[in-house]
Amino acid sequence: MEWMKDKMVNKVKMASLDKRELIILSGKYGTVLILFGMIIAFSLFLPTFRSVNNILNVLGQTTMLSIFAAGMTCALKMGDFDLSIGAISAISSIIVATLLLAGFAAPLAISGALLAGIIIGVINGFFVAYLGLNALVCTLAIMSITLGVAMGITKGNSIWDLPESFSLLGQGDISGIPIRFIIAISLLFALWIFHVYTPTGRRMEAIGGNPDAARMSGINVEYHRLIGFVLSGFCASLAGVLLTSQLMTANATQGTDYLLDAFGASFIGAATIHIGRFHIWGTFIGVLIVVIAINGLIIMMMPSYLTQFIQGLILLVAILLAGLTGRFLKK
Amino acid sequence: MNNIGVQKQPILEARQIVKKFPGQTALDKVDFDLRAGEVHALIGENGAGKSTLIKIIAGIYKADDGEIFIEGRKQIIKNTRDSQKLGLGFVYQDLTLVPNLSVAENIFLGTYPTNRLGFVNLSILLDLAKQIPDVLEMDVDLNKAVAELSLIQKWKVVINRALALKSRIIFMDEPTTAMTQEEVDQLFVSIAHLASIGKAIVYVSHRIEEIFSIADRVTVLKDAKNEGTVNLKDVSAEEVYQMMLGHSFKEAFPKKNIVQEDKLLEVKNLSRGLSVRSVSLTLSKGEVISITGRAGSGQRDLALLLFGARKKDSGDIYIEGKKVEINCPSDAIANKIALVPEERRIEGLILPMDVKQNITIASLTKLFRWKKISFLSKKKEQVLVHPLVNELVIKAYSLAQEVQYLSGGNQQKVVLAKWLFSEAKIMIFVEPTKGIDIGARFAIYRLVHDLAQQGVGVIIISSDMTEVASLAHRVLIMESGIIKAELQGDEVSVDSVVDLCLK
Repeated sequence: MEWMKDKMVNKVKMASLDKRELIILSGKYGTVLILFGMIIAFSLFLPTFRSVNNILNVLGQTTMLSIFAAGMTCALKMGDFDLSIGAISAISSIIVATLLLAGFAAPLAISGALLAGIIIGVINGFFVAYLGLNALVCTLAIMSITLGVAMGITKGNSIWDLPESFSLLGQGDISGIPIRFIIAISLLFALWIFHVYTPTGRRMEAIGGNPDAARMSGINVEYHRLIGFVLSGFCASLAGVLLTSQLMTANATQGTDYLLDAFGASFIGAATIHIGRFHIWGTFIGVLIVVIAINGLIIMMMPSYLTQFIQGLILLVAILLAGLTGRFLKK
Repeated sequence: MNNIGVQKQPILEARQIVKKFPGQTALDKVDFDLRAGEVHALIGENGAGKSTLIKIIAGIYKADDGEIFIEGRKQIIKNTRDSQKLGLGFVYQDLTLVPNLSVAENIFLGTYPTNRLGFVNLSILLDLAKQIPDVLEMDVDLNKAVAELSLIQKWKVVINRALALKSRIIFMDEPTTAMTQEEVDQLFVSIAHLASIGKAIVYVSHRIEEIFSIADRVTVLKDAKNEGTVNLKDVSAEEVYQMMLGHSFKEAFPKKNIVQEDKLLEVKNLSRGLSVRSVSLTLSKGEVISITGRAGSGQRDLALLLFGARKKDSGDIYIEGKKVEINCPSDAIANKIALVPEERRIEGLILPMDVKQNITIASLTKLFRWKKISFLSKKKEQVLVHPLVNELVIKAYSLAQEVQYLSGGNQQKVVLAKWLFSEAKIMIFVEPTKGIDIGARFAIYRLVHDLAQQGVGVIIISSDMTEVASLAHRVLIMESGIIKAELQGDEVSVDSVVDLCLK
């Protein structure tokens, strides 16, 4: 490991960066460095980590969290929190299963589930953006209501016996790469292109930077914030559908565990490269960090209660790096 | 009254200060000295280095080279606590006061007396306030919330805070920007008083007339260098302008263009509550009108109404003869109306976005790669924005630099560029040169002239009478929401405008 450190230091010396620029760089890329550090360390010291089985496992975990976190990033970009993603995922899971069992073809069932996510997103957006209600409280309430409805439908039971063909999405693969992973990566690409290359996406970036100035530049702030919630809801319902397909089970808790990690990943993303701003690829780095960290800890047989501690620690270090760099930049 | 007079020995000396930021040198071996009992003015263009110098002395920035001496002894100022301990007090334009706390609480902000248990004891604040050495009289209940005070009273609170912290040197940054003449007079009385009891005052301003009435010496910064420090008794305003700009003041205002015949905008009986009451006006192509008056007469609200940033109660707006509905800014933009707002950092710019993104944000359809398909072309953005940046001389590292790092004048230029890029036919400016120094001001005046020359209709809301009189073909004077008077052509002069405002 020493030789790698030396190599980096030499490269840095050659570029004749001064101390100040070094600190800024380490702030911007700190999280990336942490990620690579972890991958290298785990690869070297944990043989299980390197196994093909485990790599596929990691990819699978990354898939789900990426989808949740990417959706959340769309809302966070404009300062809006969406606490209802877990609930949306659960209700989508139930909707797709119910429709399949009722005899609808898979594409229709899936569309129905996705529609639910979009509708709940619109409801969130209406209350928060148009009526001006506090996002945290409002989405929390919607989450409760949605979970309640989900529980009401299933009465606490899980839905099994889904048609075999449905498992293709969640369990199938194309030359070894899981289909759901391909879907996730495609979604990330699509969202990235949306934010960078479309006028709507550009306007959302502007709102995130300064909603008042955005309004004074002719941007309909309410409408775009609503779109943020719709995207968040859509991604959550997509994740719910894929989870259902992967596990071939639908219930009122499908996907509810991902909320905290989705936030964590998004915030790590906001400490990556574009400090202080939420963005898709930063969130992806955040997802990788969270997933790989936990994966490594599980292999090391760390007790499960410690994983939460480590998760929080990682988030804290990421934010510290971003914060210190930000302050240093201002001097 | 104890009049100590100006001391000979400098109480503060900054020698050969150098400060560089990525892409520019902010201070290039600048010397500055200050004597006890004097009022020393610091002027210069935006980007000349005034606020950088002050921030270095305050401990907010660290100089790359150079030394600071207080009373002959070299000092290292690492942070604002150091500067405070050395007796340096700083009063900024944004008046860092907490609006809902009382006057007394604000004066002692951060230094609340505590009892043995560590609890804050606010009841003795009133007594402490009376004991501040050389405190300024405020004529106000010290328990009143600061939000209710007038601007001059707020300034006195901040100055008293500096005095409570035992400041011997007080730096003031552009205090008179939003003040009425009476308030300016009160401020100058306070400043003169402080100087007479031995305090040293550094007064940053771009208003040369003021500097001549309040200061003893002036230091002119230009392009990061100290252009010279002179006694105001020995020099004329023209000479100071010359030092600051490199050319003379009178020549700098462009000659007014000829107004075209075609009517561009017609407003009939526009109203909104009590702030705008049945206002009617017209604007022709190539015409520059200025709407002014005492603070709070409704000019700002009128501008916002025309841009759709506020909803009207009643009235009609016609553009080139056709009636239009303007209910939100995007309606206005669709009708080729633009508004350059007063607070550029809050309303005009998306600070984390870069120069080109800020310029294109109101006209994204112009960037479509393929017609009608909502996909932006970054290349087109670069190509289309570049000539505008050059034309306005926006000084930035590159088009990809985030605007939060630009100087105030350059930021304002970016806001202007945004609206020029939208090819607006009616441009509304609200206090366009507020907080902007002389050089950039004239660039903006030249721009207004060029726009009018090209047939754009310009509306300027401004409280700077020189600006109003020198740029406008017609001046409308508002009071309590109505237009009470109008001046045309030859009737327009600084004196006539000021006269009608005060009547």
